[in-house]
Amino acid sequence: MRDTKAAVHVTPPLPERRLERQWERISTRLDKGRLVSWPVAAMATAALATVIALVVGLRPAPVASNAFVVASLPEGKQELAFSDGSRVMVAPGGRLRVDRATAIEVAIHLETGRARFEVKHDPERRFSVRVAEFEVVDRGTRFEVERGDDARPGVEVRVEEGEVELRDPAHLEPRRLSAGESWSNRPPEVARAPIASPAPDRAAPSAAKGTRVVEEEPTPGVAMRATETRAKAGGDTPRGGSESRTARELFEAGNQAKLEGRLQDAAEAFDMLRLRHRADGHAALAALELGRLRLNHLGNPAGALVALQDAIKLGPRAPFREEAEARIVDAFAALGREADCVRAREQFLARHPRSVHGAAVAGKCGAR
Amino acid sequence: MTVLAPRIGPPGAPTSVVAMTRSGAGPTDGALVVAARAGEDWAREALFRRHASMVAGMAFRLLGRDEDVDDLVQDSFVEALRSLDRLQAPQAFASWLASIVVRTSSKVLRRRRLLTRLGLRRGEAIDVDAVVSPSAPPDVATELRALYARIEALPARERVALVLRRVEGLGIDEIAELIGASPATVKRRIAEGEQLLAKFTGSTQDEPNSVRRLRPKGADPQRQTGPR
Repeated sequence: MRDTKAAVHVTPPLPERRLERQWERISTRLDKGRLVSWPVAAMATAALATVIALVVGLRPAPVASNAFVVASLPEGKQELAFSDGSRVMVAPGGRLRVDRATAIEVAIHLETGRARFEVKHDPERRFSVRVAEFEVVDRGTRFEVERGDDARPGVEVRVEEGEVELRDPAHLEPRRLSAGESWSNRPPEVARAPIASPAPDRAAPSAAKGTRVVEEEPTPGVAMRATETRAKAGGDTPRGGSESRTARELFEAGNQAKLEGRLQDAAEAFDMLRLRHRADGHAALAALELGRLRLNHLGNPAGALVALQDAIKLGPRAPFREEAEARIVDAFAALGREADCVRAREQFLARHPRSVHGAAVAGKCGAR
Repeated sequence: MTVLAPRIGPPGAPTSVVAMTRSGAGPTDGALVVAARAGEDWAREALFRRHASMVAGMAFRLLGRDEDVDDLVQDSFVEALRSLDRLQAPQAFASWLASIVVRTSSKVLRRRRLLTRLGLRRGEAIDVDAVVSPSAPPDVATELRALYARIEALPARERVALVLRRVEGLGIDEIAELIGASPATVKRRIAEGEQLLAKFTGSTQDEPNSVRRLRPKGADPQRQTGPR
């Protein structure tokens, strides 16, 4: 709906927490709706199920659960993005289960491998990671947890920033680990690549159980850059080798950089993609993304205009063409090219009379 | 705290669009509706996040108080997300959702009014200080306060039509589409609402000012009266 002068002065307070609670209740009600319809479906198929049961034999019913599993392929990684900006990155071959993700609690169980956690601390929400018999509780931090395999069993926790609380059933009092510290009950290792942080060479943890090692704090910016290209190439691809990166790698790198707030890096990746891989299916979307970034964040409406026009050229039938055209109007308005802006606006409104962008576009370049 | 969706690294599909929806950019409503129909939870959440402020704002303006807004937002989204299959034009999700908000608000207002008449609910006046932003310009604030101070006395249908016209600033045709009535009916309800407001004010002298100032451009009260 359109915001008029009067409407904008009658608005409710809508903090993020309120939205979170609303969505929790909505999704709960939606899930209940699914459960209500389930018995009906079960009754309708009861006869068939009976026959199948006689032939195949009864099987134990699966346990109902809201948990879900996130697992990485051996050559890739998975990432969970939470709405508050918290992120969980599962290293190649790792697997974790999210038992709960609500406004007041996030409970994760690391089943195998390694995962990195970047948690936006919220004192009203408990963020915990269970691994083997241990539990790591966030205190506002970035940390990495690893569960060993048969060759090198045990648990390792490394804190990059902030602090975590390590709860161990063998100890009444939880341990606190601060930035640069790690804890492990694993035997010594030879070498291991970090998920996201090319932290300075760490001293290998001692074989003694529960050794605490004080490390140098890594440089986060450098750390995150290293991840952009590593997943596929096993950590060997240098970041500067953009020319040799595939379209998909550039697209992923751009999105990753954008997610992390490195907008200039994101723009470079998208720009590289659209210029060097013009036949690729991602090129048009990359051009649109580039246009958005330049227009909304990088203060470069002229560059945005070029990218947006390129997006339409690269994907003349793409579903986002309408949005690209709307943003071209924005770009002309930002550049002060009033005649071009009016022409683009009128073309847009004629071509998309019922567009969701219609109201915003109609308000550009002076009153219609 | 909710998880938006896993971002899948290579060689997975480019699901990073999920992150883009948080800034309001990214996939169109049409694409999100299609994904939500296919059972994608992240798409449903993205639709909620994109339109929650519109729904909450509209509910707040129609109801005139914050206490029922959360319930109304939830009811509206639950109904919309459960009945996505009935939406013929996925790209028109926003206006379709707005029509659900209006319909749900009307029900709440009718129920409130009935309970008040039966003596089961206290007919409290709207706290205009809580409704109208302190940052509103004085002239707009005065008119909005005048409107909300008296609007509780209006029947639900006239009240909804009047708020959509004066506060939301919608045109007659847009209101007609939202409430599922003819433009003539909308005009009649607005005119009746205005007459009732003037009557409750006790003075017809200051009513036209409020009407005139809040009414969108080109909305002539004489022409709005329309056929009965």
